[in-house]
Amino acid sequence: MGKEHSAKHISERFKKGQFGLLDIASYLLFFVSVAILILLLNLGGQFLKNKEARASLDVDVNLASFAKADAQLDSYLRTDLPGKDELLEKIQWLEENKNKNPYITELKKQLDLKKAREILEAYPEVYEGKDYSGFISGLHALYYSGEDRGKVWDAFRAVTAVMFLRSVKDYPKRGEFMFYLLPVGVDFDPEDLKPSSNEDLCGRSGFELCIRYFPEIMVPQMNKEYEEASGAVLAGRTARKPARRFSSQAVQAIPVANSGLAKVEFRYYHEFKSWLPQA
Amino acid sequence: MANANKLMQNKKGLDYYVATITIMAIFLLGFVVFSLFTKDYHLRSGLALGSEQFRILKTYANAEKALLFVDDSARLALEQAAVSYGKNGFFSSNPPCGGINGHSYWAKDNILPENSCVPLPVNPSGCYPYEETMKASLIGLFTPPFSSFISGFNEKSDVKVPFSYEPFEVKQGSTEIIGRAKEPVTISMPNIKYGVKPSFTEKLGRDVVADGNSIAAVAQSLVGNTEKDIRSVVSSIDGMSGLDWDENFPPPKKSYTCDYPTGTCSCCRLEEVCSEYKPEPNEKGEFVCKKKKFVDVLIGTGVEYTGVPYDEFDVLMSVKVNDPVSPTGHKRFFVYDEATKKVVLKELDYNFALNWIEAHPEDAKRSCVCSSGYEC
Repeated sequence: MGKEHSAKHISERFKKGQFGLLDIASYLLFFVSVAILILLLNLGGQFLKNKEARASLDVDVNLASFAKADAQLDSYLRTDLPGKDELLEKIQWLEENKNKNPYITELKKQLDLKKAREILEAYPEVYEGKDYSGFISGLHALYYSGEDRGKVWDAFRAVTAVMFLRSVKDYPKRGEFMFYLLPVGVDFDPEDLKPSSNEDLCGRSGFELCIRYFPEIMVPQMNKEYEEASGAVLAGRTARKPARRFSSQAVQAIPVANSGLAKVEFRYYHEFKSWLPQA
Repeated sequence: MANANKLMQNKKGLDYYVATITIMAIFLLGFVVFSLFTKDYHLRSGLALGSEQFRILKTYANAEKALLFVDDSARLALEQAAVSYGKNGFFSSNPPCGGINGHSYWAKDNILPENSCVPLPVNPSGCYPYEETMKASLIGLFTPPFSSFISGFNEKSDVKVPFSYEPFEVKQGSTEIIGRAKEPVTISMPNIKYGVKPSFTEKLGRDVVADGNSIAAVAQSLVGNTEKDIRSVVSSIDGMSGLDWDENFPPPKKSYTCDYPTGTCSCCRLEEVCSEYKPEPNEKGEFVCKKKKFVDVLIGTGVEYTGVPYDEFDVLMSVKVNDPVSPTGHKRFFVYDEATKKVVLKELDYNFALNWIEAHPEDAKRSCVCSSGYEC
């Protein structure tokens, strides 16, 4: 072996600044190999599109709100109704407060409490000792038994209103409460158990019984483009725009006494509070 | 130093080092790349954070919907069964002693010539429903409507509920029916398989078996009493234990007679015989009859019967469950009426009938039956 290949010789060459091209090329080759390796392993996500990359960071709010809607409807249906005296007392509360709160006033216009009372007093079996699901089953019998359907309609709306009316602080007025009622519809003879595609659950939807109440002040907000209305930011991630404007739906089948079943549909607006007018 | 350099330069392993490392690296990298690109969910699958978790929640929710339907169906079927159970006198189908006007007989007498016209129960072991009979009846009346509800649900739902249960049980207290499922409701999706058994426990809110026991005990004491005594007993217990009693006494079917053979009797026939002849014979030497008369002539024996008159009583009882909330004062349920094909509100009404016979042997009358002729 020649003198020029010894370690000492190489070292001496370095000291003299003779860093050979071969060495540089070998280092370059090393780094290029590493880069190719990284590309192959897709560690940097180089083969990902923006959409796919964003998907890994996004949260689909719809999925969460559908799960919430299912849970809400389930809890509605399993809610035990109060006894006769207490239920009529709750209905009476609506009557007494109709002039004290503007939202109750608006809601009351949709309800005929007198007709509702007539049905509830004549047929306590519909709700006494029953949960909300049993109540709907009982109304099915009255609806098809020759009873005045308008009264059955009013009874459903009144009971649903007193049981499930929600309230939030009325920010513009500070200290008062704004009331609203999420949509609930009942179809006594459904063809299937799929959710309705109507934007307004209670408008020409084929539901024999239906109620919803959103204060008028909220309606323009709800009709805005969703992206403007619900720009909620969740933990630093952006909520994805859902496919429909009316949020999430839940459907449940309940049995009725003629061995059939009724479809109950519920809509949950998870972004509702974000639509509230802020002070 | 020279030895060390010489050693390094002569190391044979170095000749193969580079090739070996290169080949190993190629295989290793190839394996890693292959693994990455064959994962089920690639990074490019586009699934949002939490998608899989929400799919699991959705699966639970769908199963919960099926379970809620099963619970509600069991409750409705139990109410339907209770009304039918009461209407049938605690029997599920044909009562052992028959019935009258939609009321099952709990006591039924018979009076037969073979038994010397002594009134005896139709069924020596009795016609009263016992506790086990009542429970079996309730289950027998519960199963068809419950099955019908489940079938209706399975027709429309993507989630199917298997109708596969251990024998249903009835527990007293508030008439609790327990169904233990053998097979689960199964929901299968990509990467998710979830099963939950649709067992249930539903209560009626009224102990219909205890009602049956107490009513049967009272009914057994009523048979054979006079109408006045029965009304007295019923009015004394009316309203107790939340039960309202009502009785209906149709008029007894009087003027029945039971005939049974008690011996033989002589039978005769009327014959015309000559009672007086002319004193002188005719040209032929025959004595001609001057006067005839009819006389009884014995022709044999017949069967002697003793006819025992008896009265047959049918009392139709109706016992309703008191309910202060109901406008009628009685507990009502929504049930499906097969006759009108509608769902109607019916009272929980326990119906039964008591039948007994009072014979009056002291007024028995004897008669003779001749196959021809008459009693002498």
